[in-house]
Formats: sequence, C-alpha cells, structure tokens
Amino acid sequence: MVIHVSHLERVYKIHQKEPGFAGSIKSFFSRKYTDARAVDDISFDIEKGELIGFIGPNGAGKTTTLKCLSGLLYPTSGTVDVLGHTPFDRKNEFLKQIGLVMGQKNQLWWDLPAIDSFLLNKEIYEIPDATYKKTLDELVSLLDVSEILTVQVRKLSLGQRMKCELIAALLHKPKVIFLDEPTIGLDVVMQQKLRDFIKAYNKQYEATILLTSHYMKDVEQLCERIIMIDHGKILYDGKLANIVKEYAAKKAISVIFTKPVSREKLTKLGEIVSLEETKAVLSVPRAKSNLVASRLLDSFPVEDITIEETNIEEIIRDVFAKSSKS
Amino acid sequence: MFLLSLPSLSATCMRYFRMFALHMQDIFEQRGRTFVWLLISCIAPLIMILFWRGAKGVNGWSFEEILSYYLLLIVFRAMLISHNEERVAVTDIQEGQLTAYLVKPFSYFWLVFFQELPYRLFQGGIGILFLVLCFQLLRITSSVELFMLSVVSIILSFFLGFIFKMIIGLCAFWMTDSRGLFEVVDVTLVIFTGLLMPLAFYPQWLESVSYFLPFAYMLYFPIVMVQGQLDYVEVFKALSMQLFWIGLLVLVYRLMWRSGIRKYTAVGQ
Repeated sequence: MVIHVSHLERVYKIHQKEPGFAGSIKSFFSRKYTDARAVDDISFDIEKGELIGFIGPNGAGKTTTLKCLSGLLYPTSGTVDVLGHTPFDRKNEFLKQIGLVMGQKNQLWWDLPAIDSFLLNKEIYEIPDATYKKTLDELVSLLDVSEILTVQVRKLSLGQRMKCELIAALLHKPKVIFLDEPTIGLDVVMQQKLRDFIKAYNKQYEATILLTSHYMKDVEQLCERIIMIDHGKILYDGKLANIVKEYAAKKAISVIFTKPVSREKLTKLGEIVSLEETKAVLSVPRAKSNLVASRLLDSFPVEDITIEETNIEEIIRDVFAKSSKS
Repeated sequence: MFLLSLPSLSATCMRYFRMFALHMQDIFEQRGRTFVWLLISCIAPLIMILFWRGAKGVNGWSFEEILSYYLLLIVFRAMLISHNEERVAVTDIQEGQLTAYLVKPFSYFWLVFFQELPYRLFQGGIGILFLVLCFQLLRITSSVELFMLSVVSIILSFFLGFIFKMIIGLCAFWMTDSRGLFEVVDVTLVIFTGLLMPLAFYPQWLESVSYFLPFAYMLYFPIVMVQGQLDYVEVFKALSMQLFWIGLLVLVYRLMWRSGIRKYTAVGQ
C-alpha cells in the first residue's frame, strides 16, 4: 500500500470581521474565529500504480487533502501515511519520492529558460548525470517540447509552461505524484495532450498518481477509480464504471412512432416521462432496457428508437446536488 | 546538516557550487537590478566625501582616512548588504511561492543563500576593480596578519547580514504588509552600520550602543579592520562579537522558521 489515510480531519480557523471601520476596530481588540471543517473524517487506501481522480466542487476539500498528503498541511487529527512516512515531517527521503504540480502555482524560474530550472532540480534532488539525461529525453519526447526548452519561461504560452512544470516535477521520477488541477486554463487540444501524457507516464513508470480536476473529461479518460468529496466528506469511492450502476439505476428510452399510440399500452412497459402525439420518453430499469426496447419494436409502430447512454457528468452532478441538499 | 563525512563533503561542495553557478545567470538576466544597486551604493558615500572635504583630524581621523573609509564603504556595502528580505517576504511568503520550496528536499535557507551570493560576489568583484583603480587613495593596513583577519571578518559580516535579512523576511509570516518594517530596517542600517559616517564620530553613548548591536558587525568593523585602525585586541573582540551574533541570529531564525511554517501551513496557502 502506498497511501494510507485514516480518519483524516482538517479544521481551519477563520477570522471573522464585521463590515466597515468599526468592525476593524472591534476585531483588533477581540478576534472572532469560527471553525471551518475542510476535511471531515476521510479514510482511504491507495495501491501502487493507481491513477485516482479526486473530484468535487470548489471548496470540497480536494486540495486540502492533497496538501495533507504532500506534507504542506498538518492534519488536525487522524493519520496519514505516504510511502511509509508521515508527510508533515517533510523528511528529505520522503520529499525525494513525491512530486507536486499545482496548476495555479509555478516553480519554474521566470527569467531563464526551463532547462535551467531542470538543472537546478537535478542538483536539488541529487539526480545522477546519466539518469537525468535519460529521464529528460524521455519526458521531452513524450511531451514534445524539445524546441521550447531554451526559451525564457516568461515567453512561453500557458500550455507550454504547464508541460515544462510537469517535467520539472517529474525529473526525479517520483513514486507518488499529486496533480492539482493540471489542466486548468488550457485549451481542449492541450488538455488532451496532457491527459495522454499523464496516462502514458502512469503506465511507463508505474507511478501512483492522484489528480484533482474540475473537468470531468480528465477523470473520465484517466482514472479507473474516483473519490468524490464534498463538504469534506467522501461521497463515493470506487470504480468509475460502478458509479453508473450505483447512481443511475434507470435508463431513458426515447421513441418516435409512425402514428399515435395508447398511453395504457405503453405504461405496461415502463414509467412514462413524457408522451406527446408520436413522441415518447420512457424510464426503465437499466437491466431491462434492452428487453423493453425489443418489445417496443415488436408491438408498436416504431419509426426511431434510442436508448440514451448515461452521461457520467450528469450523474455526478446529481450526486453532488443531492449531497448539498441533505 | 553541518555534519558530513569527507567524500560526501566534496560531492556536496560540488553540488552547491553547481547550484551557485546556475544562479550566477540571474545577474546577467537582471542587469537592471544589478546596476541600480551598484549606483545606489555609490551616491551617498560620494556626497559624504564632498561633505568632509577639507576636514582635518575628526576624532583623530585624517581626511585621507575618511576618504578611504567612504571609498571602501561603497564596495563593502555592495558586497556585504544582502537584499533578500523582500523576496522572502513578498514573493515567497505573501504570494505563496514558498509552497513550491516546501516540497523540495533542500533547505529553503540555503536555496535563498545560493540565489543571493552571486549578486554579492559580482557587485563585490566590480567594486574591487574600482578599488584597484583608486588604490592611491586607500589606507590599507600594512600587516598581513591583520589583513587576513579582516578577510575573515568580511566573510562573517556577509553571513551576519544575510541571516539578519532572512529574519526580516520571515516576519512576513506574522505581518500582512512588511513595507513599513523594511523602511525601519533601512533607517536602522543607515544609522548603525556606519553608512552615514564612521561610528567613531558619533557621541560616546551612541557609539557604545552601536557596538553593542549586531549592525556594526555587518559593515563598519570589516572596513576599519582593513584600514588598520584596530589593534589585535579590538580585532578579536569584533570577531567574537560577529560569531556571537551569527549564533544568536541563527537560533532566532530557526525558531521563527519553525513556528512560521506552522502558521503558514495552517492557513493552507
């Protein structure tokens, strides 16, 4: 097991100030704090080589969890174990085995070409010459950035910079990688390129990768297993494929008939969502959808029939919507 | 960190040297910053030279000694006074860049050190060229031993000044705006490091106060040592004061770093 988290809790103290100047004076003398529970009793285990997606709305606790795992935050309570270390000790042996990329922060030297930042990281992580050269070559060809390595970082586009950030974070071949919104602000083509890279890297180096993202596409394409969190609690932890089974128990079938059909006959097949003239939408249990479709074709004058594929993004939106209501 | 075996020591030195060499590039990328600081170092002392012109025997100093003091001051200031506090406070702590350094297996203190060192060496190098040009005007001790001791003192001053500025930078953990603090620090340095005039010219009580504070050991003492104005007893006294202050400030830095990091990570930047 690479990562073991049990009953992790993280509470922020938030300083409250009443509006206006009077409020400032008041808060100068007596500060009011309220507790914000960013992560509330979370437990999970992650095995070597897994590529896991952390999803949840803004402020759900994704980044806080990643920070607890990478040693940037000490937990209020609970235990965190990454590669046999307690992250917050920030021991060098631990830090040498992890990599952290935050889409909204950069570690590259702004005024110099990326290659100089790589060289500095080579020294910081004490990477031997031969290994450095080999890893750099591999990463450069995977990301196709050979031409921009010698360009001043401030002159690169956001996408090019992100690629270089990734290289800088991966040169020491970390065993565990935390990617916090790696595709934020990138265009669709660049997003796809980064996804392909992350997937290839995960396969090639058997690295354990934890990824947070707002884009469902990232998670859908990359991660077999997802952890959904909201309000600091885990809503779902498991295979992405299973979430469909678990949360989308029904499928919708839309049919267009050649002539109007009777409502009574249709009700026997499934719950009618809508019926107008020759158009109908039925909601049926997932497992029975094929059966219902064939019955429709057999006994009704069907012109067109579609079984709607369940949209993961919609399901997930549903799950989050339910969690915020409850 | 300081206890290393010999073979790993030489490997470590090479590693540090390569990091230093990489940072040397900053100087050429940021020519503007480099030369502005060089200019700033020159202006005030040159005006002070005009001010003291024609003075005869101030507190036992001849005009030649005063002239030499200000010329050395230009160079020593460029070489010894670090300017890392703003970067530590604003870019790293307030804007959150520190996060990227915290996940690296390398001490933040030394990382900043290797970024600052090239500036000091480069500006010092130019300054020494300048001193060679006006060699005739300098009053430098004729004793080889005292000269060697002042070189030691110069190195210690650099460390002392650097650690002090690191501490000022770390104050940003507890302050939302550190500009006010920087102003106070600048004024304090002007008064107590001898930037205005040799500390020996101050009234007795102010002179004693300044010898008690760490600032005189960042700039003033190396200069008067090089000029040969201190005897052996005073030299050793100054050197031990430097060591004492370095030790104390290292301790303060460590304490501040430890609790500052807790605070910084508590808000989760």
